[in-house]
Parts: sequence; C-alpha cells; structure tokens
Amino acid sequence: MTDAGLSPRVQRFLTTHIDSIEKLEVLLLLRARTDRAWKAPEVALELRITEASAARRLAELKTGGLLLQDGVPGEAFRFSPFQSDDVQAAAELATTYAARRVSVISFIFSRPMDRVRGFADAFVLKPDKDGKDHG
Amino acid sequence: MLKTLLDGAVMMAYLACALFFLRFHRQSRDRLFAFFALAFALMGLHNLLGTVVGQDLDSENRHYLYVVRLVAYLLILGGIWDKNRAGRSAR
Repeated sequence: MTDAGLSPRVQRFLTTHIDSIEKLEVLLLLRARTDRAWKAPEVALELRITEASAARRLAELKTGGLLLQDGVPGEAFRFSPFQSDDVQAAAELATTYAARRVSVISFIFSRPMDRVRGFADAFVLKPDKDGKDHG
Repeated sequence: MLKTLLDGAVMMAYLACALFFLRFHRQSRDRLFAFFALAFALMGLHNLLGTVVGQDLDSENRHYLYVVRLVAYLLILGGIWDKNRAGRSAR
C-alpha cells in the first residue's frame, strides 16, 4: 500500500472522508475557523472556488458526519464531527498537511479504496442524474 | 463423510468472505459491507448448523434452519436499501 509515510489514522480518515483536494481544503478551513458557521458563498470566496462546488463539498462533509448544520437559515455549517476519533484524525491531518503536503495529496490521488468503493457503489440502483445538481 | 467435509469447506469460504467484507467495512466505513459481512457470517452459521444439528432434526423441523439463511438474504437486501437511501440523502 502506498502509505506515503502517513499515519494509519490519517490514511483511514482520508480514505473514508476525502476524495479531492477541494474537499480537504474545505474541511481544513472549517476546522481552522470553528468560531463561526460557514455558508457555501463564504467558503467559495475564501477558497476561490465556485459556490456550487463549495455547497456540494459542504453537503458531502455533512453526510460524512464531520460537519453540523447550524439552525440558521441559508445552510450554514460548522466543523463538529460526530465521532471523537474523527476530531483527532482531522487534527492530525491538519498537522500532516501543513508539514507534508505532497504526501497527503499523493495519497488522495492514489485512492487505495477505489475498487472497494466501486464495488459498493455498484449497488446504488439510481446513480446521480448526470451531475445535474453539480455546479 | 464427504458431505460433511464439503459443508466445512463451504462454511470456511462463507466465513472468509465475511472477514473480507468486515475489513472493507473497517477501511471504508461503508455500512453496506457490514451488512454483507453479517450476511455471509450467517450463511456460514447456517452451514454449520445444517451439519451439526441438521442431521438430528426430523424432516418436519429441518426447514427452520433455513430461517437463518432467509435472515442473511434479508440483510443483503437491507444493506442495498440502506446504501441507496444513504446515497440519495448524500446528494
């Protein structure tokens, strides 16, 4: 396995939750600034990505149990993982990403779980409607 | 004797599948794999029960053993349903 010198916890976290650099950046942004709730346009502005893309990443991270949707209207999110292990893993990931960015990026692109995920996704009977709701 | 041997081999294959799915579940945290692991473990259990207990059961009661297998199949269906439900809410 191409672990690129990452700890098993970080590897597991990346494999489970992160499939793109964009998602990683969104996660790290929300993790670094937990003092406020983030809406898609604000994330988009901060990271200079499209609003639709930011909204999609936020929704995916929420589904993964890493973000909490705030009660305020307009779909604001906060970094608040359900599992304490994810909190530690995200902290470790942030440190690793700051120190060994290339290793993290290489690992995300190597996607060791791709085939396993492909198998699981084969059981989705109605796949995404050609990215209709994807910006 | 040969039947018992083959039953054991099939049971081992089921349990090996269950362990693989368990590993996939631990790696990907996809619930579908947990359902599959449980289903295959139950199918292995069915084989074991069929060999150990089944021969002592009369033909009137033997079909109860298949309830285990039914539960295993329902678990697979439940896993697929859960996967689709999760996939839809993720969009």
